[in-house]
Amino acid sequence: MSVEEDATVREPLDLIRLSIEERIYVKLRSDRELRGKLHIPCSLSSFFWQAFDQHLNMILGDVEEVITTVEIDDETYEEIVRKLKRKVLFLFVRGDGVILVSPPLRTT
Amino acid sequence: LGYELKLLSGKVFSLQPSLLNLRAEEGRNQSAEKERERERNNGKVLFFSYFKDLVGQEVTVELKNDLAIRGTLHSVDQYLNIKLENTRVVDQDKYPHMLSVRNCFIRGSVVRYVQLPPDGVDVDLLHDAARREARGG
Repeated sequence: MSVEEDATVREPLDLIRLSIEERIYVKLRSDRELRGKLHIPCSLSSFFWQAFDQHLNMILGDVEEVITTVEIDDETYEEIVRKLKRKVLFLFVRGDGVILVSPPLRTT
Repeated sequence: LGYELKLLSGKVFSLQPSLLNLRAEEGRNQSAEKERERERNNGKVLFFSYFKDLVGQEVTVELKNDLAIRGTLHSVDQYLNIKLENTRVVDQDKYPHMLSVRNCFIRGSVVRYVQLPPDGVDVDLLHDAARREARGG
């Protein structure tokens, strides 16, 4: 094995670090989903200003938030209502609401 | 003929006839670990420093109970508790009970989002914060 470099994935947080400056999909509590760019305004030579920390607090740019609410009609079974909320530029997300982080799903 | 020994700590030692090689590998392993340690440690105060640089800017804090408060960031602490000045509730008709509140202290754990200044973040401030982290870390 070669000497460990920065790009070596050793722990789950490294997987997220691979997505820095990429668009990601974040699933939050309360049926919320975010799609945005994991933002890192600068990266000095040996130091990464991390757009997230070990609590999964993170800063996203160009974020689109989708809140999914399910309304149940009395006659039919389910109606799924989607509300879109668009946030401007930068959003700080507190980590305790984050469920999962992933590259964006190839759906919509 | 060389042997590789992987210790529980994750260090990899190469047993080679030359002792110098052994020490070089260990040194590199240690510095790589220190680098990772430093990166992990930076995360501990990272957003705290970031918000400290944001003091004075207008932000909108959205709480976990869906209340959104717009105000000027007055101060922040290590738990990311936030003090806002000159506050106005975003949807005043929905939340009339805070009409007269102009300054508030928000416990960090109830924050869901902090919407940062719409005109974007001053990249230079972040550069400085990053540099300070690098020096202090």
